[in-house]
Amino acid sequence: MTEAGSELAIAVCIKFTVDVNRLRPDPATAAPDLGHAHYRINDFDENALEEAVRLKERHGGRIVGVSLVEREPPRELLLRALAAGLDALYLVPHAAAASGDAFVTATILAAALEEIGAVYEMVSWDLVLCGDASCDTYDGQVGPRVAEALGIVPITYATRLDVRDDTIVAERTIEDYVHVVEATLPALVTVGSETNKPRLPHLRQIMDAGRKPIVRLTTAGLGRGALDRARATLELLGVTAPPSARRRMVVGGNGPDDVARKLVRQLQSDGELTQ
Amino acid sequence: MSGRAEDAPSGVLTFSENPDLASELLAVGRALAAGAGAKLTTLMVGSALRERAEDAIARGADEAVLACPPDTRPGAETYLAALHAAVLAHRPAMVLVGSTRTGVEVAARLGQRLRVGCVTDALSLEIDDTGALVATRRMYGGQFLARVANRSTPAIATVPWKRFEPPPRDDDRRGTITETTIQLPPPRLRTVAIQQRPRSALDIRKAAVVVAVGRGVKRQEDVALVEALAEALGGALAGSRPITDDLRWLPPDRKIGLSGLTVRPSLYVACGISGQIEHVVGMRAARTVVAINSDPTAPIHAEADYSVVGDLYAIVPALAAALRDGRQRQAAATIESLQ
Amino acid sequence: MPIDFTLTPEQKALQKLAREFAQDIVQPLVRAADAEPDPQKGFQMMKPAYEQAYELGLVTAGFPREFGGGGLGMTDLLIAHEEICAVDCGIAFIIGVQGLGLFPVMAYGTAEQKKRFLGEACNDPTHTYQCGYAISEPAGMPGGTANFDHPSPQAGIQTTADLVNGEYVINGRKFWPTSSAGWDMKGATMNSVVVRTDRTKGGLEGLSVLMVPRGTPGVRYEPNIDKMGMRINQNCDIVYENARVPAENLVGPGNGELVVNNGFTFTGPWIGIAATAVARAAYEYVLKWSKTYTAGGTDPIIYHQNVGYMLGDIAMRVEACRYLSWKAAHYLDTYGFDGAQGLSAMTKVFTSETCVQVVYDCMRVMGCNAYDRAAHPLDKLMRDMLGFPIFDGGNMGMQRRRLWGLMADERFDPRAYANCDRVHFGKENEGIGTVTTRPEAVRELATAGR
Repeated sequence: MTEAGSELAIAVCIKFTVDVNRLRPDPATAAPDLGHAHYRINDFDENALEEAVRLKERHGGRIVGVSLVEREPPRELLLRALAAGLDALYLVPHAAAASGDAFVTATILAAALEEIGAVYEMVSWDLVLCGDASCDTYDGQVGPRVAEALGIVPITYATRLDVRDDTIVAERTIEDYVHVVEATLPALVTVGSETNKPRLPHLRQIMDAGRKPIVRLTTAGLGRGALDRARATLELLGVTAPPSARRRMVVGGNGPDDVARKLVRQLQSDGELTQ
Repeated sequence: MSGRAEDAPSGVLTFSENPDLASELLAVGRALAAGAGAKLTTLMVGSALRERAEDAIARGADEAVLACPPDTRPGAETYLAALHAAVLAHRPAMVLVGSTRTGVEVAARLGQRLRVGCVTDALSLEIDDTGALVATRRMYGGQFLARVANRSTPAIATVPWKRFEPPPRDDDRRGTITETTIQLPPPRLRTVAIQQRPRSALDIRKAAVVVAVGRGVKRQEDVALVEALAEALGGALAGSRPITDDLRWLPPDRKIGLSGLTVRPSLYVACGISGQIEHVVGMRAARTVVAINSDPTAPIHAEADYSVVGDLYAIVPALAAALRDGRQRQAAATIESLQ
Repeated sequence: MPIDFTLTPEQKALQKLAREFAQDIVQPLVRAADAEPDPQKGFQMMKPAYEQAYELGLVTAGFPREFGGGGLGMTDLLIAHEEICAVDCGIAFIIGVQGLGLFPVMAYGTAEQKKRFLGEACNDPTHTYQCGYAISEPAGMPGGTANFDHPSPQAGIQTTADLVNGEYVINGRKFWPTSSAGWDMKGATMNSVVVRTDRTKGGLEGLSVLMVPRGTPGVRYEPNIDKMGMRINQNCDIVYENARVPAENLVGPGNGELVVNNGFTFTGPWIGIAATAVARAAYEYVLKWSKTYTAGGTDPIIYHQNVGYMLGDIAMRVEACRYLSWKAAHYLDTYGFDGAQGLSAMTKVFTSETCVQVVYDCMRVMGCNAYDRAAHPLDKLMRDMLGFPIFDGGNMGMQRRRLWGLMADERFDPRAYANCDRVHFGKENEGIGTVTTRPEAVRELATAGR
């Protein structure tokens, strides 16, 4: 627990996801072509990591990343996460990591956070930071579920946050309102793209990232029946890309004015210009 | 139903703190409950809810549970306690929650407390042969649809706003209204302030025409070019995520996309937007899409009915001028016809 | 399995950093800066991107760690450099030229000079440090750049530096130096200038390098050169009139011509990957275009065999240029510049000339649309690309001559590069082709010197 003015023990939950912008449907099946997928750090988790770094810059402390992974992510992504400011990265392999079952993910993540805090880092977390959601499933459940599993207060959709002594003050963006809240640490905070703009890491941080510890836990080692407790609740029956019904007509012409006139005529005949 | 129904969880419980969404949930809830031959219960949290409760019954609820909180505190804590208590008391087979930010948090935390699954942002919901709740939802940024079976008891799902029409009122319907109190633990989250976000004059979700600007615009002052087009079309100006979040050239309530708003205008004009999935999800439901982008290979062109491959700095002003010109000629013709 | 083209995870992460820098920070500035009629203004418009590059460690990536640099090898540098060049080679050269400008110090400097000049380069709190590199001289002077290693003191480099009371006094003019005039036309932080320190000796003995700091009196910057391409890069016109620098700023006394040769050795693969990157940008653009453009027909043009074959030819040349550049970089990482002169020259000549043709072929695939500069990037890519064969030691004037000098040597082993054996390149390999066959020309030169 944080003493007044003391350093923060921060855990950031990180998901290594499919890069959805580079994911294409398999032409034969319309299912996502995961065999050719590229991977990335979930964008909102980059915001979470950036926010952790900013808090560390102000208050001091240590930041560790925790990630549930189906298989070992590309090493360059691990290096990037470390270069962005993690002091250590813990990987928890689990076959269901990519299933999108938030109950399984959150239960194992929470057990891993407890284990890492108690056994490896010997701290109790002041802050657990998560992205609001992940770009692949866009589910938004893992943060609040982990908080529930750890028994700490969740502060979701935070767009600004700061810590004063043992109190966290955060601005949450809830639909049309800004909800300013405070809570006593520890807390779990979820953040998104409005929260900050993650900076690019320094070249030397990238080249030296491999010297920072990457610890691979096993779910079996998490104990207290974490695996048994994390039985699947959801079954993914199928994923397909619906066909697009757009006309995809290119409007060309002799210079901008001609193009504009043709487009206006077309929209008028479609009845889209009601004037 | 056999006598076992008394033992096994059954029926549908719905909750949303948003009254409109709460009504919309009754449509889905009624359909699922009818399939299961079971009861539809709706939970409302707050005070002075009788009128809304009667409305809910007229729209298909069999029972409305009114939970009165003992104090004021951030909503999610109260809603979660009320919903948790209602689940324990009513033992529903399914729980439907409105997909607001608060609703998703509540549904997720309820799921964790009950050790069950939750499917968020369900676009459709049905019960399959095995009795599982099967949802369709977007995946991988929205270009894919996933079918997900939730076999938990209860099975939780959240439903987005404006996805379903609220059922029509039937004033002859009868149901029960139950009032309960909620037990709350000591508050952990304290509200310091609630401020309305600075809102744009226009709600882009309600606009018939939306003109959106992306990174193809090089300087903040050039957003005015696109704004002029929006004016000429009588539409609302919106932006992609880089414009609202990274550059902050437009307020966040003008953001269209996965992390922003979803719009369904009749006409959508994308100016200098590349068409990343993040953005496309928010505009895919538009009736007609026009894309203006100098890169002929930009993915936005695949999402458009009409593509203009060209410099928006030339095309956008020309288009605005052509529209104004057309309107002036029409006005002149109207005046002439009246003289 | 000694030949391994696999990028390490560090290199992939570095590549991503460079790509994000290029796309997020450079890309939004390029179009307007390239279109700016005043070349100095266009250069200045890139200053925010340069500062960011400095902050990220990209500017000082190749300098040793002990002085505060990134400690990257040549192969690492190429991987990052390709990503920036694919967006704009002008800013990439502004960033990269520090390596060339400080090459004389790195290669020939004393321990004290390295500590001073490299330390200054790597630790600028304003993030604006630049070191220009000045060799070339304007047309019409008695000497000329390509004949820098000519044995006559009256040929080649004619900017002179005379030692007077512990100071070198510089007189002459430099034309084309990159990033020399600074953000404000008052000079880059530092310039390394190739000068004739011995007026009695030829190019193999009389040349040295002087480090000329910003603010040196007697240095005047004329308006920058208005170029057809690579407009974002600053190319300068500098006049030295009794400009004085302390004697301790002298680097590599009597070895100025080796500095020139080895500087170009150092840049060979670096130019090679830049040419590859510009060709790659054209290739990738045209590939996507050919998959979406139907030319009014029913199918995208890639389904026409001629387009498909041309794209194949384009792609194979881009790949070949990249791997040759990597090979040359690997050789430099293995042996340093000593002996890499031949391979480096081959790389520079081959890639630059090949990639001009690649960009032109990309334009042929697109047809007349490629000529539309408002809608498509081929105009800028071609303008930029046309510089590659003729700058940085023109392929005809200098690069081929270095290779020739090496090959003419009795000891030259034609398989040495393939086998990755060490090749020696010394003063004896320089100067080839510089000696006139006209006896009266030698007399004319001597007269001019008097």
